[in-house]
Amino acid sequence: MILLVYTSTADKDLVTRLGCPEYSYRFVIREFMPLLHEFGKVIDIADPEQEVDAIYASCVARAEPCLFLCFMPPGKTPLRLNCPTIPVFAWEYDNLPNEAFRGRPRNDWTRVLARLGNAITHSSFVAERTRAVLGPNFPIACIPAPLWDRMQRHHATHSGLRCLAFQGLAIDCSEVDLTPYRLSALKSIPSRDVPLPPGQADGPVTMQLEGVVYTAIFNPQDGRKNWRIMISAFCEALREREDATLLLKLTHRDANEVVPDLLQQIHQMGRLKCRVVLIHAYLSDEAYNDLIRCTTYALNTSHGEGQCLPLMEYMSSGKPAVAPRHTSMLDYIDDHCAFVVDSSEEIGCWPQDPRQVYRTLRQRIHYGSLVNAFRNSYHVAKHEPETYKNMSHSARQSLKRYCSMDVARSRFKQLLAGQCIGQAKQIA
Amino acid sequence: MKFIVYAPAHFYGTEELSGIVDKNGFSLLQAFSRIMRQLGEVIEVECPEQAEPIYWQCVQENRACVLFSFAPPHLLPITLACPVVPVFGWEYADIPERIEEQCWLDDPRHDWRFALSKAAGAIVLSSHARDIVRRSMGAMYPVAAVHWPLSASVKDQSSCFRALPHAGRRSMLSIRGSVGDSEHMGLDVDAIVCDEEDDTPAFDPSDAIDLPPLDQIARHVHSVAAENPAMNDSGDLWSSEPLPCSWRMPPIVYIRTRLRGIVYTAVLSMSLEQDNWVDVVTGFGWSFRDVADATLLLVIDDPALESCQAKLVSELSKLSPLKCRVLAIYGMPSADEYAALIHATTYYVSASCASASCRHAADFMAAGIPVIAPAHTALGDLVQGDSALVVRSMPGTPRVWPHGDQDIYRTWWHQIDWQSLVEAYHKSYAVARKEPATYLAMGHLARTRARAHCGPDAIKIEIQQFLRDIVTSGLMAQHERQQAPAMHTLGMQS
Repeated sequence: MILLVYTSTADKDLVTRLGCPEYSYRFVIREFMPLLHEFGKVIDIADPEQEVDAIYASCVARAEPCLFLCFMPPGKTPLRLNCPTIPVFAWEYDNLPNEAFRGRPRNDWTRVLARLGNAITHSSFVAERTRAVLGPNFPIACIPAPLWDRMQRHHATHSGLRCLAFQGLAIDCSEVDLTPYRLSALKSIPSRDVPLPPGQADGPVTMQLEGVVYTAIFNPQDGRKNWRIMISAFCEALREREDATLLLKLTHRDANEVVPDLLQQIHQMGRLKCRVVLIHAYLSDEAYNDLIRCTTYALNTSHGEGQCLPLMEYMSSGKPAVAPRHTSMLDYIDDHCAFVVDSSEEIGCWPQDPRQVYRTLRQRIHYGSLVNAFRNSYHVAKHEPETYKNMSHSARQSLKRYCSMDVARSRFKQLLAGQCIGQAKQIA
Repeated sequence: MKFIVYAPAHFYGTEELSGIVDKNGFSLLQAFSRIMRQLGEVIEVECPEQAEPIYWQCVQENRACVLFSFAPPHLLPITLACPVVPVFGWEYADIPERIEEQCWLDDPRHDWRFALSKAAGAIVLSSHARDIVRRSMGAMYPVAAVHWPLSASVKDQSSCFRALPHAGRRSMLSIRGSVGDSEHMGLDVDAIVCDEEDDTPAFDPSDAIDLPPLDQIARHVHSVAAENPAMNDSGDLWSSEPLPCSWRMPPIVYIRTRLRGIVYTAVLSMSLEQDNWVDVVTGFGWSFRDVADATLLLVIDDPALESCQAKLVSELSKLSPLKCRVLAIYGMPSADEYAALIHATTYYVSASCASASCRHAADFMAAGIPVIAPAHTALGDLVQGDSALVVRSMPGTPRVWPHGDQDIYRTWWHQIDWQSLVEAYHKSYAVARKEPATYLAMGHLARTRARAHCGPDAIKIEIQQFLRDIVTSGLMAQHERQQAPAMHTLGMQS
């Protein structure tokens, strides 16, 4: 069997395309690769229109099944290939885009999916929302990126003094003057024109971490990540705790574009004894795993998540979370493995809709609940090692149920069964 | 008893806020003066120094005299011989107690404890504000929660109980003002200018054939035109339906238009973030996008009215197409129009994050209109589940001081649960349509509660009690010993 995979970010370009549209689909493909290799030969496609049908034709000629897995939003998935095409997409809103806005029928994902006839997404929430519009029998599989098995190599340690070394930029907010980033100053200058704090540049970094470390990995320009509330609630909850650290690893190609706004938010919180650290770096696997080891809790305050790879990685390796329970996180966040942050619906836009009109719902994070979650989780990390251990175990187990290779394998097999029957008929 | 009343020209340093707060200072002064006239002589002064000769004359005549400063404590005149009482609303979680803001450094009154200690006592507009003043000043500090007195135009309608809204009922709105009407704004999502680079897939002509619309998907149909009553259906020459309008504030003209179905009214400012107008509008638009007989009447009291229409058109465009209707009245209507507007309303709605007073909610409630509102800060004094659909809110959202540097969070207010607001819109609509007895019972309790808290008799008693309290309190006594004659007549008709 031949499995063709495609996303718009080539593997080699990922570093320079962080924060660009659909960059995170490349991370998803990387996680799917071991699974796909189990089922056949995988070919990474650079140009679907040129390559897919040529390969498919040769497969048909030798009666070898061939599938095209397009890791892109449905609107950007090729529609008229002869090769059976399965869109693999992430989504995190209450409804699928169902308007052909800007006069483009492809912007109506319901039409695209109806034509393609099947799909893979990463959460039961989106699978359910899709079936709600395309019918209860619409073949959509919920297959999260199967990364759990990979994370079992990393065993959770989080106590004592830890050391983190990497190449990149690290700003420890307790060591820099934040006054140039005060809100009233940034009102008169675009924040991206404000330089980084003096002496802060890319280079070798060695960082000591101790106490309770909360880590979040996100692109600050992605409005869904809702990072302002993350910073303020952390600082408010643990303002007096010298041994509490909020570590924000920024997934964006240009630090200058994102760091000043983050520093403004930290400045706005006033005097702090707790520590906020910004890391802007493309970490080696080793450094990335060290960061997980240094972490006490994985952190998420999003308005919605398609699956949230970093949260899944951290929890798979036994880090309990501070996170809301909505969208994809309904599948793996609960009170046993996380300090659940309350949220409720609010009006939202489909992020790719250039009109930014209100057509959907997202989740509003309850600030007070987030503050409490920080305080409770800090207390548990400091004073209730048994509870922490149990939560860590539960996190591992919960993510095993969500994104282990076993789970993904059986669901993918099921999806292929339907596909192969179809193809066999077609070839016959 | 002599009441000297004064409202300073500027409450807050920030220009964008000054207009509205000034106006509230004067409105508050007028509202209280109406009641104070029943207790004694009221003299309005333009600057606090004008109070001194009046005061000294009272001293000679052995009459009681107090200067009421309708402004927050940092604007309290503190160098006068005349006893001073600030009257103010406060919606934040604490009062400023530390002079941390750069722009406060030269004035010790920004530590409100200092300013309040120089006053004979304080009147605040909610029990929330009373409690936080007491927390800072001690339980013995004379502070009274006296609500914003009901508007004079709110008539006691107990004898002519309001007609219940029913299917097909259309109340008439007649008003002279600038009125924006969502049905005359030319709302069109496709007309929205998209600044951002459009990353959506390019148009492919064959998509139209390969991707036919799915029949089973319910779609919003823009059928507003059919619902839109014809201009001048009343036949009056002097008035008309709201004019077509776009981004600019519509001209001031006589408007006469029928309001469809269930009418929700909110009085708010778009410049004051705590009024949270976006939640009011998006919650309404989302709840009733396919419901033609729901109307939202926004009375917009704002220092920057010119910019409000553009903000509203922008937000409504994002919600369109809408079958429900949103009408914005820019500027406070006259007393008679305000009364008529209350009468045309089915529910008063607020999604406030922090309320300094429950002024407008009380006016509507007193006329038997149930409210949809959160039960915190000043609203908390009136909003209860028996007479309101309570919108869930959560305390703790960090905020800057409104009159400080705006750089660092020093206090907090409440977060609104938007989902709960939408549920309240749906439920209120169903109650008004299908549960007339429930609706009437809510209205009755709303009326009783608002009158008990904000009616003229209640306010008069509160003020009298406060005047007695400051006489007996140490502060006034101290003031008295130093500068003033016996105050035994305080609180009595002089």
